[in-house]
Amino acid sequence: MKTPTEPSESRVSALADPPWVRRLLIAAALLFLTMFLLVPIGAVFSFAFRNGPRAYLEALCTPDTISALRLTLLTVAWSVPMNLVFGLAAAWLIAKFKFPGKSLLVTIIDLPFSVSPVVAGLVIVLLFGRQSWLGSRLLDHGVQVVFAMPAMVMATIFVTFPFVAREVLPLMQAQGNHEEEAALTLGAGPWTTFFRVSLPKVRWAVFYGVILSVARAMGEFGAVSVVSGHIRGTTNTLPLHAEILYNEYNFVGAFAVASLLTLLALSTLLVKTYVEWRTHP
Amino acid sequence: MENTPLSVRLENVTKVFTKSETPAVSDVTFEAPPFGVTSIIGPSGAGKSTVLRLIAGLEAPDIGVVRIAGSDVARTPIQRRGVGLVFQNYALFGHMTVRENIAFGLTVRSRDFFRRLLERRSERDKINERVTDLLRLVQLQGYDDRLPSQLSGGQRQRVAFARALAIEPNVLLLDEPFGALDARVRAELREWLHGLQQQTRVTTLLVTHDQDEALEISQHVVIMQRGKVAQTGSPEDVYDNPVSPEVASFLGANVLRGHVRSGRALVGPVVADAPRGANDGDSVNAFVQPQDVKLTAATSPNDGDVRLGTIERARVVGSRVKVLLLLANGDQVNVEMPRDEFDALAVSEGEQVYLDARSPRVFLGDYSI
Amino acid sequence: MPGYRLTFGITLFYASAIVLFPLGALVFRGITMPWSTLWATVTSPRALASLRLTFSVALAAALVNAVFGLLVAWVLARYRFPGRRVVDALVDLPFALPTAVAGLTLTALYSKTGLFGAPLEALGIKIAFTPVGITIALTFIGLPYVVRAVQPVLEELDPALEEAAATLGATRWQTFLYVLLPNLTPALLTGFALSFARAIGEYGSVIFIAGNMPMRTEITPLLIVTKLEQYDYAGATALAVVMLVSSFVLLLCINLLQRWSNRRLGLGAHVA
Repeated sequence: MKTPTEPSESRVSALADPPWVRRLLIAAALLFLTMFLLVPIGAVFSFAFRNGPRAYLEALCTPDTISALRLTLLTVAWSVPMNLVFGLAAAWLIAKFKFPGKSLLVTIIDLPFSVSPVVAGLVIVLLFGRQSWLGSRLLDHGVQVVFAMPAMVMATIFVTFPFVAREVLPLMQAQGNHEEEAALTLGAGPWTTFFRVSLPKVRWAVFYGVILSVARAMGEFGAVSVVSGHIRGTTNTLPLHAEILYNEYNFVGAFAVASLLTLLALSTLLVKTYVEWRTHP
Repeated sequence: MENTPLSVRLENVTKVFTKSETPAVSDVTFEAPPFGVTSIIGPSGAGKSTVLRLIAGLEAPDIGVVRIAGSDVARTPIQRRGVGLVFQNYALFGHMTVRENIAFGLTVRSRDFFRRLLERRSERDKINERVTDLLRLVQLQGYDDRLPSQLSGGQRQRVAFARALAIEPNVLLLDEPFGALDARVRAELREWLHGLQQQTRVTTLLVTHDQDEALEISQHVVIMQRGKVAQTGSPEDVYDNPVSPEVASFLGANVLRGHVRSGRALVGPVVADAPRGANDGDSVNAFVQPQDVKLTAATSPNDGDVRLGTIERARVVGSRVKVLLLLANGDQVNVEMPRDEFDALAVSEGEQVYLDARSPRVFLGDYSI
Repeated sequence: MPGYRLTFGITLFYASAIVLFPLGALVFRGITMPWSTLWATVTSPRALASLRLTFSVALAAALVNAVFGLLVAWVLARYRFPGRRVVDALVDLPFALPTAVAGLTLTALYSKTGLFGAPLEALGIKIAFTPVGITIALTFIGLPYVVRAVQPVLEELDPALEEAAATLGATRWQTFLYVLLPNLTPALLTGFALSFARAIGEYGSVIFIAGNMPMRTEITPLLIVTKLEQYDYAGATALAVVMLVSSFVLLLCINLLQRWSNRRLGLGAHVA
């Protein structure tokens, strides 16, 4: 028997904290969040527009920036759909079946969350670099992996690997099998059941998982940095490009690129809030 | 446990929760006398739990006064009201052992730091001793170090009692204390509560939606409906003389429809004096408890005899039989009778019997549930 | 339910190809490497300094986050104030913001001429290019973990527990200390461990603000990158194995913590 958690008017003074405590705690929390979240975000835009909107636009419209944006989007276009398919398959497998090693599988799915992105990048270099057995064979056949697109996509897949599965799995587990069983007994095939019954039930979780993957894929720095080789115009994604501009003391340029990524992050939060509002109004 | 039992009195108490238009508790006045159990009963949503929370200080009344031992407690914080509240879902502290749960109220009270330093040893011994006494009282010796999650529902309930009693409350408040337990454990705990009451003699208020429970274990009953007090009195009194159709039907009575003719109320098989102020042709209702209906065999029934009823269903429940009868006017009547009496009638489902109702209560108006 | 073979196949193949095989290869390289090489790399003064720095700043940041995360979670779960929903949404910002952006903007703010850096510099306190600066970046990165671990527990806690404590005579502070805090501890520890694990591996936000001076402000992930750029694959692998093992250990701790906290919260289900 859970009572609603809204601190309702029913709580009288003896259970509610005294007003001065409440005000003090709210003030402390807001001050902390302002210092650590709001000011840094505001600073990104203020630095980007330091020399006016014109300089901002100019900084964004350089060929290098545009090619970095193109490459970033391309990485997303490769990695997100693959993780989507995997995430749905893994969530289905774990939610619907019992099998030995299930909790191990869940741990493996969580692993990329806690592995340093640098380690992830290093692993790809070790496996596919020109010094490696596999890398040198591939190079002989004209396939370059490291310091090129394939390694960057792999690194991105690694770091965004858990997102869809992690969002969908708890929901699928909580919902149980009743509706699927009903559909199957009514004569629906497995694919029909999946697309017409199961997927609609978890669509918001899938959507949010994809949004998170996109945000992380566009913003990933460490893993991609290690495997990219920082070749301007060829293997530069937006975050790497921001770094290069910053190291070249192109302050406004770096923050103009950073402001694009910040807008991306803010829209992710907006979508998240919207999804939460849709699912628990 | 040598507290002088104190009375609890509510005077014209009203509590409105914002967002809801009707008050949860509206102009409630009653007194729970010292000693003994006062039960607050009523259907769910009647405001029973809110009354307990108002007494405990978990809510503050919008209007009216709550008095414990005659004094207004509006300015007494929860912590110092001296009420022992047993929650509906027990609200035991899951991370504490049984012993720690029971000792909680005692340890948080001894918070005078310097006194604690000086008396630490003796005080701790005192608390330990008291907890041991309480464990014996609630028959949980040897369960000291269990966590609540390792206890059965009935055992948790008794820990909750012991925890509430530890602070030697002036008043013990029980919110549906047996609600979540199965029938057998309920019956056992009722007995046990009765014994506990005899021992501790603390003024007790019990909230329940189960009228049998209330009638069985209390000396005083407050019936609430839609936030108001409908009737107060001794269990026998409210059972025999319900003041309104609602109370009667809440207490399990059958509702029969009829009308007034020449100063008499004719209600199906029931003929009684018409209520005061009734005119000929007025609608009336009669209320009859299931065990107050007498059945006799109808050997050669005349059709149209108002005393006739058809047996729709007869179910044996242990040593008693529950019979559902259908009257000619379509009213249904529940009857409860000893099994041997029913067997002596030698009737079965679909057959007809004569009804006779003892001590009906007749009210003016047409009441339907 | 249909689809066992298909989903099992996809999941196993994909998880093996993306996670298991690559990480396994790294571990394999680590254990086949001569023990002396591994030991020499990890215990070289520069590597040791980087490990010490990495773990201590990560710990400091996780501690800051435990304290302030609990505060923010409490305020969001218990109080209603204008703008609460916006604040609630903003807490996730560090999850969504690319780490490089965080690094850039924090560096600019805390450098000698920055909004926060300049006044602190006047007081003689240097933030950017010191371990304090790294701690600030890691605090930013790990902030949501504690909040998001503690907040739901706080929201779902049965209010009757606090009411019971009050009727038994406990003050607000005693109720917090003896009733609420023990119930929050598993979630708090989980959030702390997650934030710590994330901080150990963090790269993007740190390299800007750290200054990256060997022996002083060089974190281990950066040292790995440096070694890689110098084609010192053995050295990079050795350090990466250390990092990976600590990730495993932390992940194990987090799983155990979550099991513990689930068991504890499971109590409510028995009672109701």
